[in-house]
Amino acid sequence: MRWKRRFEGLDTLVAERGSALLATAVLLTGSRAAGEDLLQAALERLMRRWGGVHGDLEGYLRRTLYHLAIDQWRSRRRRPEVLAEVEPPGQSDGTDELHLRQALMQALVLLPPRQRAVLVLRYWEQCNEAEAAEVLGCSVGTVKSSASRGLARLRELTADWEVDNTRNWNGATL
Amino acid sequence: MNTDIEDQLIAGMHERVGGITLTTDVLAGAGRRHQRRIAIRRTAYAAGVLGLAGALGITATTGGGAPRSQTPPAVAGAESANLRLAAAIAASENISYRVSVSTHVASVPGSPDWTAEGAFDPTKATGYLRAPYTEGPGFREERLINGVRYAGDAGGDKKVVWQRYPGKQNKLNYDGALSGTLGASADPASMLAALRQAGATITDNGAGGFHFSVKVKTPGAQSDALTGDVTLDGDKRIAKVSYQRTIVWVKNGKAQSPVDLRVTLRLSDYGKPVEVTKPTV
Repeated sequence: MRWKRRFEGLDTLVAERGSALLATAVLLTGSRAAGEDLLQAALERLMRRWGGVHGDLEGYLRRTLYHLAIDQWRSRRRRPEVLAEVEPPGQSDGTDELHLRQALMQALVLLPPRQRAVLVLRYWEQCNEAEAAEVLGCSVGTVKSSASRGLARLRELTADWEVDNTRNWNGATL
Repeated sequence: MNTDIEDQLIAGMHERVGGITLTTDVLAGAGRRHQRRIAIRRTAYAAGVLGLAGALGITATTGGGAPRSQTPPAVAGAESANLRLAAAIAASENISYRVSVSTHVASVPGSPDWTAEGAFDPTKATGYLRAPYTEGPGFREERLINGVRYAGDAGGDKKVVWQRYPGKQNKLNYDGALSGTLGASADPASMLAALRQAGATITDNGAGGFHFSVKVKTPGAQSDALTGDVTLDGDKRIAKVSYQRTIVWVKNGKAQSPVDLRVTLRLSDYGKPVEVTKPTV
C-alpha cells in the first residue's frame, strides 16, 4: 500500500515492539480491545506527524500512548471494561494472592488516568520518578503525588483483601 | 514505604499482560484511520474554501476587480441581494481579521468537533492559525510573518516544535484546520472558479443576510452540494458563514455513504493589528 511505503520502517517497529506497546496500552485502558484501539490512535498520531518526528520512534509512540490515555481520549464513548466494585472472596481457598492481584488490576482501571499512568510507568515500565515525569511532561512532584494517591486508592479499593490471615494492607497485625 | 502492595501490583501487571502478543493488524487499522481522517479533512477543507467562495466570490463577478466570469452565478430573488453581498465582500477584503472555523462531521456519530482559530493581515502577509488535534491535547499552529511561514506541532506536553519553510508565502496554510491552503483573502479568484462553474443561487435570508446554495462538480465525487447562510456585522462586513455540505464520494465505482459536514466560519476584528511573534526554530 502507498501509505506503507510512505511510513517506511514503521511496520518493522510494530513487528518488533508492538506486543510490548500493546501491553502498556492494555494496562492503561483496562482491556485488550481498548488497548489495541489506543495503540492504533497513537500510531495514527505518529503517521500524522511523521515528517517532524526524528530518532526514537518507539519513545514517541510510548509517550503518545500515555498522553492519549491521560486525556481520556475516548472516555465519552468507551468505558473501561471492568467491574465497578472489587469484591473479595467469601472464604480463603488458597488462591488469595492470585485473586488479590486480579483485584488490583481491576482497581487500577478505576483510578484517575494520571494516577494510573504514573503507576504503570513506575511499576510496569520500572521508570524512576524523573523518567516518569519526562514521559508525562509534568513535574517530579506531580509524579510523586500521583503515585502516592494512586497507591492509597488501591489500598482503599482492596481494603477487604488480605495477603494472608495475619496482615492487612496497612501492615498492621490483626 | 509499604512494599507489599507494590510487589503485588508488579506481579499483577505481569500476570495481566506479561505474555500478551499483538495478533491484530493495528498498523493497518491505524493506516485506515489515517486515511479516513485525511478524507474528512480534505472534505472539510473544500467546504471551507467553497463557503468562503460563496461569500467572497461574488465580488469578482459583480463589483470586484477580478475579471467577470463568462458564466456568472445565477441570482435568485432581488438583484439587491447580490449587490449588497458584493458590497459586504468588498468591505471585507484586503483588511486584517480574526477567523475561527468550527467543523462538525454530522455523518460520523461521535466524531469530535474541532475549531481552528487565528488572525490574518493580507496586506502584510502576517497571521497565525492554531488547530487542535481531535483526540488529544496537542495542537498544530501556523505562523506567517511578512511572508515567512513557520509550522509548529505540539503533543500532550504542549511543547511546540517549530519548523521554518523556505521562500515567501502570502496565505495561511490550513492543513491542521481544514487540510489545505485557505486563500480566502489572498487568492479568491482560484476559489471563484469552482463557484462560477457550478453556478450559485443567492437570496436574501430575511434576517439581513444571505442564503446561498451551490452544487459543485468535485473530482471523485458523485454529488457535492453546499448550502448555507452569510451573516453581516454592523459595518456590513461578513461576520459569519455557516453551511452544510453533503458529498458522496465514489470509490471503485461505488457510491460511498454521504459525508455530511457542518462548518461555521466566523470573521471579526476587522482592521485591528495582527501581531505574531517569531518562534524559535
